[in-house]
Amino acid sequence: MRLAWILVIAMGLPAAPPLPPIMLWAWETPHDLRFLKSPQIGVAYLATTLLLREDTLWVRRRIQPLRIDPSTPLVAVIRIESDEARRAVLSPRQRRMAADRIVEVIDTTGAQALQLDFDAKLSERQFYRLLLLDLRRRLGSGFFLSMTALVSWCGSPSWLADLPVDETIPMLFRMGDEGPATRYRLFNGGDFPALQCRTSLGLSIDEPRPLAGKIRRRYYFCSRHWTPTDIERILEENRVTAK
Amino acid sequence: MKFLAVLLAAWMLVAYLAFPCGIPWALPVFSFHRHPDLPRNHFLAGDLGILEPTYARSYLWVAYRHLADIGFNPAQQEQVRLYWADRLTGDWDGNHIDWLDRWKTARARILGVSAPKDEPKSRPAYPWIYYRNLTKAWQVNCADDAFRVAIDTLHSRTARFGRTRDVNNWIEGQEAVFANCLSDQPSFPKDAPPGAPDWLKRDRAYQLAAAALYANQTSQAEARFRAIAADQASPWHTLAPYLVVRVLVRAWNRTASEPGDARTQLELYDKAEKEIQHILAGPRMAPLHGMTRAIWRRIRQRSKPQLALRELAPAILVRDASGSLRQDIWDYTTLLDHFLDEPYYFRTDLERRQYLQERQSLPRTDDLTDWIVTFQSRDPRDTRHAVARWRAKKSLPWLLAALARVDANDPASPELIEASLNTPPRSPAYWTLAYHRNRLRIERSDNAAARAELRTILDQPPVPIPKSAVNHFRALRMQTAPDLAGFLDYAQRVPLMIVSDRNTGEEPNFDYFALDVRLPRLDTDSIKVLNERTPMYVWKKALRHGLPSHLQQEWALAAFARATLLRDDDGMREVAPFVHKAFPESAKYLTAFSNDSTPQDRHFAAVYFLLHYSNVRPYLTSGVAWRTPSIRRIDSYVNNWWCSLDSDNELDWDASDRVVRWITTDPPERPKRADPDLAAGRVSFLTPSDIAAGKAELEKLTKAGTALRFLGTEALLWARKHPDDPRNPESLAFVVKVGHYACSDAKTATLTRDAFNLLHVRYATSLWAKTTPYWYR
Repeated sequence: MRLAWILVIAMGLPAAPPLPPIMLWAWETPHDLRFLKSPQIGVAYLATTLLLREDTLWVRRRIQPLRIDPSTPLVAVIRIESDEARRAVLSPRQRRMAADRIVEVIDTTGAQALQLDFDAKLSERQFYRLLLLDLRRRLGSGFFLSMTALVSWCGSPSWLADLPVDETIPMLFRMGDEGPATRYRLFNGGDFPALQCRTSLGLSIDEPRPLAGKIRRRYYFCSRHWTPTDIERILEENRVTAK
Repeated sequence: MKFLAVLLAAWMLVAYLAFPCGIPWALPVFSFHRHPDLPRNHFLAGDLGILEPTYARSYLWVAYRHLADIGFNPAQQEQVRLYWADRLTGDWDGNHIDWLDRWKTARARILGVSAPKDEPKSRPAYPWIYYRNLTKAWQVNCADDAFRVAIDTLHSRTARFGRTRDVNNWIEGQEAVFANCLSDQPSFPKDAPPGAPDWLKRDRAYQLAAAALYANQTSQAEARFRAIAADQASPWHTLAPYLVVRVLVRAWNRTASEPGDARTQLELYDKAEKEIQHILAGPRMAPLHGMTRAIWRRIRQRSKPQLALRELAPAILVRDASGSLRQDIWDYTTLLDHFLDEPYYFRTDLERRQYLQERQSLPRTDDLTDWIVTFQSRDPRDTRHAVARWRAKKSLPWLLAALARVDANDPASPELIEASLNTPPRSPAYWTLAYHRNRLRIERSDNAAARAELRTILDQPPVPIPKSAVNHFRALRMQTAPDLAGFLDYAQRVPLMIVSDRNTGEEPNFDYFALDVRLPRLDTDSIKVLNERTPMYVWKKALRHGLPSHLQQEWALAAFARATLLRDDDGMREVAPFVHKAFPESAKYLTAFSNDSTPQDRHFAAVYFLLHYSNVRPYLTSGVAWRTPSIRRIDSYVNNWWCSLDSDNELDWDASDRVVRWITTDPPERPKRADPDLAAGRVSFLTPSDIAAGKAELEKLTKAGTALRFLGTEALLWARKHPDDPRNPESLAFVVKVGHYACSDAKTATLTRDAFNLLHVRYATSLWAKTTPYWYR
């Protein structure tokens, strides 16, 4: 086991994060997930959305209730969007505001893990990179920091390579034009060229999913509410005992 | 560590090729699905174009009003415009004033303390909310009005009584009230001090009632507000009855949000309704009527949606009425959405089943609702319903709905077509009726009649024709084209805008692509036929038609790729000059086509060429051909070369109607592959034997597999047979690239490995071997 970890670290892969192998995304709808009692399943809930607009930041906090069992592992997700009509200037001040708000959310919610969800355009990547560096400095190296990724970021070389995050989650749904080639690759035993993209996967329950052959954490998205039936199917898919 | 160093060196050595990362895919919009042509003012004025059932419901309401000859006066048009702005921005007069900040400033001014610093800061939508750990959500407890009224009251008391100890006490009391806005810990002002003036005692009574409301101690709040209502001397007594309603509605709301006692919910609702009716019945409470009606509407929409819908439908059809059309249409469309679009949230599967049952109870007793539901419905029974309504009413809305829904086999279609001919060009239904009339003619193979009318529509439209409609009519005209030239002419359409696949609302100013929107492009209807049922000889013939250069380029390359995969030497020889003309740089790869060479030489030259052009595919793409600026640049991960033609939606994935699926169905549907036989059956220029030949060719193209399988196999065969060909090292190196960047699988990994091994065994000293240190699965 020790040898395996040495190999993992030597290959530059991130160390195993302290979250269960199955995570459910709880997005902008009310959810009652108190029926989840398996330690194998956690919840990543959208806590706040930040909108980058001109030289300011608009904040939309979660107002949809999420009920969960206190023992359920939890990740606070913060989504970042940029206003298409009133383009963000991406200034250092705007970045500081974003970092301040993110840290405020962590403090308010008591979150032990944070996930950022930002479909950064090419022109926004430097801003995002610097934001992540700021956050890492403020949160410390021990704080679990995760990010979602577009599959197009998972090529080689990848701009994700030196980001200070513990987990990168390529999203294998709503992929648009990347869909056919990506699915073809993954469904036929291939993998992402970028090593960062190989430890976790983002999936949707209403789209085809590769089989759970390789050991990696799986995040699931559902556009409606989660039901116990959905969870049973996911567990069966992952062949994990529910309770 | 050594492994990492070698990896880094390898990356640096191969970095001479640029690896652009992915950008959003550009999709052309030839006609809008979600909304009418922009700007919307024309539609609002009655230029409906070709009405689509996929439009958002407010547009269908606008259309109905015009079809029913009700229309809009200028004030009503403005209300509708404001409604659309509300929908787009979510602002609803929102000025995002930080009322909490304003309260703090006003308070500071009176108390003579430093005001909060006025510096730019991030702006939450509602600063005065607090986090509830129980629900992992923030709660908006206090509305803008709470702060606004407090500020006004503060100014009023200060103006009347001065900056006194009593006013300071009032401020303290108000602070205690507002603490409930920022925390779920109840906070109450202290009682008014002994000897306090009457105004302070009465204001304190009000503050205590407000604190109880915000602390969700609704019984106490109700009792306190009732007491205030009974105190004629209180300045709040006229407002207090309305606040009693607010308390009851809040209590009802909380029970309705949580699973609980249905009887309690009903009792609270009845109690609130009784209070509301008492207010509305009292002429002395007239100042409260407007806001009381508004709150009543809210709770009725939630608890009695059928009733609320039945009341709203006639209200939004009144001609020349003043009033709250902006709010009314919001409420009406929200109610329709409630019935017609399955909500995301159900607490249990039982709740979902109950919802589906309730959905059946959607009242279609008014003509407007019935019409909208019928027009949008995907239930075949609603076609019969539309025809029945038309026959009963003979109205324009129902003629339009019926004609839009029937197919050519429907017994009603001749009478509907006949009736549509009487509609004058100035009618708001004109273009929709003309479109479906000709659609039905084509379905009945009456191409001559369709062609005749479509010629007039496109060449000499009797009234200005919206651009979406032009593209729709060109699509119909394309179907009737008797020859390839006509097909190609009408297959080309100018898009209205180019959007990204993320811009599902088809909103302008959302995307930017450095593309000329004015250039004509091909839509999915023609692409489907060409890619899947058109034989090679037609492809070659099309190259002589004189397509615009941007289309000619892609066409030449796709045709060349097809000919190569089909091992059609004649085809390759005929198409090669067009490839050369479109891409002079291709000459160095295709020299075998200009000298005396064998078919095998030419075949490998073609393979060698295709290895170098990652954006070439054996099929056309709808709209915008290439994502990256150059056809040669390799994307760092995806969209290089081609996958197997029967994989996923390889031939359909760029179809713009994918956007339609995501925005018009709830939950979003995965698009099904369009039927190529159906598509081919709709066009006139292909013969049955053409279609059969095209289908057979597609099967061969599909059997050829992925680009890696085909090109890799051919390159390896050639290198083994012609080991001294100087192109081999480069060819094999590119096979490794294809293996890295294009569709691959466990089986084709052996091709990549074999190419790599051959490169390093036989051509070890070549630059290509040196710059290809690894191969990828």
